[in-house]
Amino acid sequence: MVKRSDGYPAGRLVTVLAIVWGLAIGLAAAGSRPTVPNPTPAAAPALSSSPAPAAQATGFVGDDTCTTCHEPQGKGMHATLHGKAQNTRTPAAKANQSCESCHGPGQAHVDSGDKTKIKRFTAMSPRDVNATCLSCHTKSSHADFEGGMHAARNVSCASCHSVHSPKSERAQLKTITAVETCQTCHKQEAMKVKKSGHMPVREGKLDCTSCHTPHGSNNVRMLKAGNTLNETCASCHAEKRGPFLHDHAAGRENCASCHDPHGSNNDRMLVAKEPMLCQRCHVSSRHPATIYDGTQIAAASNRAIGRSCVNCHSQIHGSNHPAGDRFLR
Amino acid sequence: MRTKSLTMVAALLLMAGGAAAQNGATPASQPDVEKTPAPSLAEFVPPNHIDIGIRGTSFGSNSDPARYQRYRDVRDGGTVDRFRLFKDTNGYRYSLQADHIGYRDQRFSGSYTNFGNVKASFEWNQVPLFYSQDTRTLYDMSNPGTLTLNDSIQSGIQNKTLTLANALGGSSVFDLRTRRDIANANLVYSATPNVDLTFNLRNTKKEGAYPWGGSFGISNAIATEMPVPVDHRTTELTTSLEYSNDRGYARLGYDGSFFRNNVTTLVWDNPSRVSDAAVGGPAQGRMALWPNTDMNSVSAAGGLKLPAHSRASAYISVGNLSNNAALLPYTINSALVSPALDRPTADITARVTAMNYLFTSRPVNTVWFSARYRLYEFDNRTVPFETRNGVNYDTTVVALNKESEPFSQTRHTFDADATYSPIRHVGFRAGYTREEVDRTHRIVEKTTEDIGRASVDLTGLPWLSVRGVFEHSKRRGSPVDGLELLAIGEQPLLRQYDISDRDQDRFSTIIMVTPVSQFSVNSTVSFGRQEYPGTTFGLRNNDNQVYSVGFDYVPGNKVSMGPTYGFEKYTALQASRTANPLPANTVAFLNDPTQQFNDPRRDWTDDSADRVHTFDASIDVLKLLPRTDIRVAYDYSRAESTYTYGLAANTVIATPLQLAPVMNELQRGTVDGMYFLTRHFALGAVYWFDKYKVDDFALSPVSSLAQPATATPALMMLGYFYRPYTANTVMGRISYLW
Repeated sequence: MVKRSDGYPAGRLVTVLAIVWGLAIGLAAAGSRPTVPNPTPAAAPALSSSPAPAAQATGFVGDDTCTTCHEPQGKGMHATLHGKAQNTRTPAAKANQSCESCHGPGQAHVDSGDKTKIKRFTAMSPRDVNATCLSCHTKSSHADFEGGMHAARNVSCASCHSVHSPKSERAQLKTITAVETCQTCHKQEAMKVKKSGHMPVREGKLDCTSCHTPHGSNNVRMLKAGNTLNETCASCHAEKRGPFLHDHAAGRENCASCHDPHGSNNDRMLVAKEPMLCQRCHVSSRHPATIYDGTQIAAASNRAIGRSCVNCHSQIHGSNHPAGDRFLR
Repeated sequence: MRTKSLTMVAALLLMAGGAAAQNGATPASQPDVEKTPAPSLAEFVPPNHIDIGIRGTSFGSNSDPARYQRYRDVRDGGTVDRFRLFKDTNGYRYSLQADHIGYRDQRFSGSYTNFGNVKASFEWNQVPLFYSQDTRTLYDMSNPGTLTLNDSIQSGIQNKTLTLANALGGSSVFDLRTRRDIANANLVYSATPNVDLTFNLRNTKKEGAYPWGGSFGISNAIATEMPVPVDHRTTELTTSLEYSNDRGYARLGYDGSFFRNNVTTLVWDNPSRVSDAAVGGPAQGRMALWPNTDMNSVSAAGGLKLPAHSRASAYISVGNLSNNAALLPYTINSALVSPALDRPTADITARVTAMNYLFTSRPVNTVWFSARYRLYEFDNRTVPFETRNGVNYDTTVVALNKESEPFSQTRHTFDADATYSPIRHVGFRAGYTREEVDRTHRIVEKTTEDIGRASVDLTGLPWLSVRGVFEHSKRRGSPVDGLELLAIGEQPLLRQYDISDRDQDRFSTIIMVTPVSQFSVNSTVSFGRQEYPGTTFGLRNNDNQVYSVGFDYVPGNKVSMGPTYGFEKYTALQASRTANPLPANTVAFLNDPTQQFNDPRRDWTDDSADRVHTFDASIDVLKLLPRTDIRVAYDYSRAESTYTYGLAANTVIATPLQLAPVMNELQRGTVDGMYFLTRHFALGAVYWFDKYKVDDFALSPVSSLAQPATATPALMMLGYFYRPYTANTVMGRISYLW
């Protein structure tokens, strides 16, 4: 049985949060002020066969008026899933108000010609953009967006997705592939994928979303499967998940202690070359205190050449053999 | 004290936000932005098309075709390279896709969506992994799980009438490869606009063979690299029922994963012996391969919108991992009496509990914060497997009196982040994380890590985007009992870097400047520093620096281009001591200055550095020339790793011969041209240039698979080496589009 935590300050943390939130609510009430126009679809009039009177009453002008000036955008949106009125959750299902279900009532904009009189996503704060999108995208991983790393860093839905002119085959991305979208910001990971030891990303068999869910998840680092990094790895490498009769504790703790999943210049995407990697934790036991230098290489030591330590300790992820505690069996 | 500080910081942030709100601090002016370019329908509706072609590759001398094709199948011949069929109506949409039909890396997929009702998709994806096409072995691989040698080889080597190097002259050449076949089916049924039932079934079969080491653990025995058979299947089922509306959601889920291995035991002949002997060792070795395991979990999740733009959500998952494979005897050596097993099966079970509670709020426009508590408990309930009498290296039955160490851990993580946005496009974030991990069977049973971070994000401006984050963390563990380390033969001052005390700083920034809409420059800089303050032996520090700079130029709809250059440097310093073990792992010997084990003059360090240069560039010219699309791309990555050994000033050990640097250089250039004869027909040609250069002191080819190629080899290799290649591939194709 696992030893339980004996001092995690959960109570104190909850108390602090409650106080902070209470203060915030108080401040919000004291300092409430108008914000960027933010009508959500919920605020829009219900689907109706004769929307005109309601529209006039609430400042809506209808799609036909919008597309008078914004025809390409209207066509673009209607060619995407947003334009499929059969799905009652889509903007197109709001009869003649698909544009304004996101952009808000357009009457003031139409009357004045002033483009600040309507919601323009390129001029809104990321959180306002996200609030608009998330008012409909309430399911699946979208429900986890708030609290995810992208939300914390002011990334907006529109940073990656395009409503009017998407380039990708799916997910309405601004680029042709998901990898291109991600590497716009994640340059270091993009460089790692190009190293000699890599997963088949550059070959097109995997992409970033094979492991990560950019909208947020219950896992760490926005990983898609499981509850930990190890569980994500085991979703493809199930053979290594164990548990085994003899576990390699470092592997059970975290696969990334030894492997860099984005790529490295070492065999099997190890974070360092063997035997140096193993020698970072094993100094005297298991005979690794030797300096595996050029002399050892010239002598073809089976602890230095080839796969080095795993020439013998091949069961390094764990062994189910009763004599496997050294990972030889 | 820490809690008080946190409260004050949060309160200050909120007060500042509130003040800003009262003053109406958000600027009213909004910059003009470029009007969204008029999209054409063809840009986002994938055209139906099929590409049929023929391709061929020529290799430079001494090239390794296997590494060139590592995750691909680029054999010469005809190919249906790409097929896309897409139908979109107001009521439904379907698509069919296929790539590389008939080759080992083929993929088929299809999807059907009845808008608002059903989304279904299926994918068949083959992922090859080609290790080598000129690996050689003496083993007969016809019986999966049993690798046999001709008895005459074993007896010849045992009787010293044959050397392994000579015997390997008769080895057979074979392809060393594996392949994953992944079938993935998804279904989302929307019973109502608010209720979704999701179903996912994924079945992954992996077959082939990969390199695997086998050893008899005896000083004069030959470690053996073998093609271990791979034949296993993983079936995963995920299903959930979700209700959601604009106020929140609730979800119930089930996840199951079942791993089944058709080859759970590997028996291989010992090249050094033809018959079992109690002292000389066995004629065969036997090891347990991956056991069958099951994973089941159920989960519940829910989220609720709260006043003041707040939201609370919770997730709870309870699962079980099990492994009840039959256990092998301690030894296959018939000259020994294998001791009785503690139990006949592994009988391993672990309860996995995960929880995640999240609260986010945006009480005023300028302030956003989130707090999250995460619990992960891996509770290994396995009864330790006792080994009173065991077998060392298949040669001797010995009293060991050991037991297995079922590893468990409980991980508590608390995160809090607050963002203050005094103006619309800027967010200042401060965050704090505290993580506590309790674990069993490790030298540090409890670690606590405190992480503070601050970031600035300037986004949403059409001409400038800046993101920067700094993070500092400090991890401290419970006291280490040096005697426990001594008991396993380790230096008492060793620390294992994954759980040892650690100070870490990380900084990264990315800047994108777009002076005109057609041109943008981006640059990233990041630094990382890890220090392990309590570590005498083991990893002492681990630093990295990464820089990149690039630009994108899109002068119009017809031309786009952009190069990027990046440089990475990773350094690490680790320390060790070359010494004989103590005669007995006791304090008395630990205090004995005559023991090598205690002699600091025998200390050494390894200072490693990786330097990586990455460059990529591309240019797309679409219809600039009449009816012609041309895409050109180039990728380059060169890495050099150095390992420098250092000794104590008054060292008594021999000066090491420094290792040669390890170098990896990958290049890929692509020219892809297409000429549209008509609206429906196009002729195309693709040229790929691929080059890999490698120099690795441990993995470069050697003259003999017996190493050293003497009468007393230490390793019998497969010949899976890191080899260079130069490949020129040309594909001609005809495309039909409709």
